[in-house]
Amino acid sequence: MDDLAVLEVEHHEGVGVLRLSGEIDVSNVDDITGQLASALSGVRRGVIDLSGLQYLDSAGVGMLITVAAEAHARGAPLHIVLPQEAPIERILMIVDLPRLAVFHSSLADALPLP
Amino acid sequence: MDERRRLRIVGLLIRLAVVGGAYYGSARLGLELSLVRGSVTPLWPPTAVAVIGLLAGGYGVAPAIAAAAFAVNEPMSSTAAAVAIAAGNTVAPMLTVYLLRRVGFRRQLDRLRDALALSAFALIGMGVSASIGTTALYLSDEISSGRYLTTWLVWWTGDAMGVLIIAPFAWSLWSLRPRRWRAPNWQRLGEGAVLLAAVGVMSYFIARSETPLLFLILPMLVWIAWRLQQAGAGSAAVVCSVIVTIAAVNREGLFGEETLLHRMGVLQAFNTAVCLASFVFAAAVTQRREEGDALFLREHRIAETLQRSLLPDTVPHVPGVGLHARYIAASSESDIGGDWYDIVALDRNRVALVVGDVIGHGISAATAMAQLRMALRAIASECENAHDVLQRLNRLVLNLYPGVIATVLYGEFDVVKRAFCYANAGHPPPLLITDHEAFFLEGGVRPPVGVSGDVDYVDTRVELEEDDTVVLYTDGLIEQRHEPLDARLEMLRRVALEGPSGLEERCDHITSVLLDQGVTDDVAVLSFRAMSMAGESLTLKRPTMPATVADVRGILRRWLTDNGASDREAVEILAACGEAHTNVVRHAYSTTSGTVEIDASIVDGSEVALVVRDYGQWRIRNPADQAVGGRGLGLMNALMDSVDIHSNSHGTEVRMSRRLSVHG
Repeated sequence: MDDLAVLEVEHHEGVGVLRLSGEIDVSNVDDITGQLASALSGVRRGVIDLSGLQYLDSAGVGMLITVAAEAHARGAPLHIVLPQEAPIERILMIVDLPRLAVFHSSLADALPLP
Repeated sequence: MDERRRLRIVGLLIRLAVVGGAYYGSARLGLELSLVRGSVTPLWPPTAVAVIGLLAGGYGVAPAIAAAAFAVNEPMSSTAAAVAIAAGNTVAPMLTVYLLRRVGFRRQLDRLRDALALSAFALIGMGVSASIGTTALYLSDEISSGRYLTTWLVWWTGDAMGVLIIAPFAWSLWSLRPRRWRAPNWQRLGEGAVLLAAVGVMSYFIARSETPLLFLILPMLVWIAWRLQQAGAGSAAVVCSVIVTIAAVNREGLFGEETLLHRMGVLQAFNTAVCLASFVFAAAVTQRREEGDALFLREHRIAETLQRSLLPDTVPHVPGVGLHARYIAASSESDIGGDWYDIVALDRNRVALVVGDVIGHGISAATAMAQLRMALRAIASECENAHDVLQRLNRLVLNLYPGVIATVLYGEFDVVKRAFCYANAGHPPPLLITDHEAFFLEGGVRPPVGVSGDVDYVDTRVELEEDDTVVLYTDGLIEQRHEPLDARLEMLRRVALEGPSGLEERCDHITSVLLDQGVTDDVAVLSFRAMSMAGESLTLKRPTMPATVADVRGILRRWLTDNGASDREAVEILAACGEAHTNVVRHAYSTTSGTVEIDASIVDGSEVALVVRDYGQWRIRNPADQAVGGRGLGLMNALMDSVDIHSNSHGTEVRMSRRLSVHG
């Protein structure tokens, strides 16, 4: 069975790249939230790559905002990779996620992390 | 006087002449057998003529009977007596025919009740003519009072036997006349001739012997009635009755030196036994045979109805898939087969397509087919892929229905991915028709289900393009005696490729060409096509379970793409719709799960109009908004051109629309 969304973790130059691809909706958001949280806690510095995400609604947006707000409050804002042509781009702009996290249009742009 | 009246009168005159002539002629014949005074005979054919004539020609022929009877008796009695006798001989058959008509008598004598009615009413009716006739003779001093009883008995039984021996014989011959040219059944004719000859010979020698062995003829009559029914029974009865009657009249064999009463008693007892052993028994045999035939026919109809009712009667509408199914039953001479087809909507935007064939015929095959069809539907909704489905079906058949063997082609078409994944249990290969070629899908053929538990079914996956058609069928379509299978398969391939492109038209073309020699075995044909949903409205109904949100999204994404939405437009519209859908899943139905309906249509060429509808009682208005900070409705409003929510006690409707940008 294909999972609706998949979270893969890679390491580049000491940075954890958390690649989230597929679709996030009400049926899997809790599961992905748990995976994302434990993956983030396992790396010292992390980048979330959303270029493979094909669908996002308020469920997934809520998860991202929560994670981003926490990181922002801790003083280490989240870095998110999202190409400008990505279909979900406007959705993330509408909910004002750029206020809480730093957006990069490609992984190459994101690394090395400041 | 007009034409019709003239024809009626001519008809009547003809009937009168025929009946009168036959009556007179048979009377003269009968007089050869007289036992009393040269005019009372133990086997009087004219009564048969009278009954037959009145039954067939109506009461209007009575004057002919009266006239002929008078003409026969006049030379032998006084005029007054002759008139009385003629009257009696006319009234008696009229009474018999009246009674027969009252009980719905049929001259085919194919029911026991008709045979018994004829026997009873002949005896009753002829009692009248015997009484009138004997009394007339007595009153005109032609017989003494001492002979009254004997005369009455001879008259009565003679008239009755005339009807009972001769009428069934005559009617059976009339029924035998062929209505159209048919080659005579020489075997039966030969058998009949031999048996009749045997009866004749037996009767001749037995009647002349002094040992009372008359009863030996009866088993022969019973045998003839069993084998050859009314026609044989009637002829045999006439043969032996006439022979024995002649012997009785001529005082031969055991009829010698006995009194008239004694001779007549033995003779008429024998004739009665002949009637019972011939036409009465034949009627019972025919009735029983016809009941048996009716029973078989009913059983066949039950099996047929069972089979028809067990097949899906309508083809479901599945968005993105064209579907067409056809079932052609074999002609009624052959038995019902165990062919079936089925279409089942599965979750995750898949539709299962099945054709199967239970080996065997008749009710047992039809019921096995029904059970397999239902089991397959249940298994399909639980399994993840095609080979699993057949694996489980195989186990089920081996455990629960030993002895049942079926070929099955089971496949799942994913509407969104346009992939067909199938497994084959001994079934003919499906045919794939693209826009420029046609070829068989020959992946992974394994043995039929129900053969062995050691089989590993496999999946084969085919990616389809828009408008590709796949045809599934049972072997009745391709099997033809005297033609090799390969040639028939090639014919199917060619006919499908060259045929019309419409789904239904192509299917009809295939069946009419391949089955032009006639249908000897049941045929099921199921065809489906990957169809674009451009320009079509979409109506989806789903239970409110979280997993269905992704299913709906999948098909809706395909629909949006088919109707010209870009990737980004599609995702944004899907997100807005997903919001509304998720709200329904979470909150519309408080305790039990319910139904959510999603309608999607294109308005004015490029505007997408969506409606998400539920029938629940919302306790909290959009609590998802509160949970994530009022985001849901805001997202919907930002992503769509317009959003309207209408809510009442019956449910809620969320309507939204967005105009697509038209690409150049």
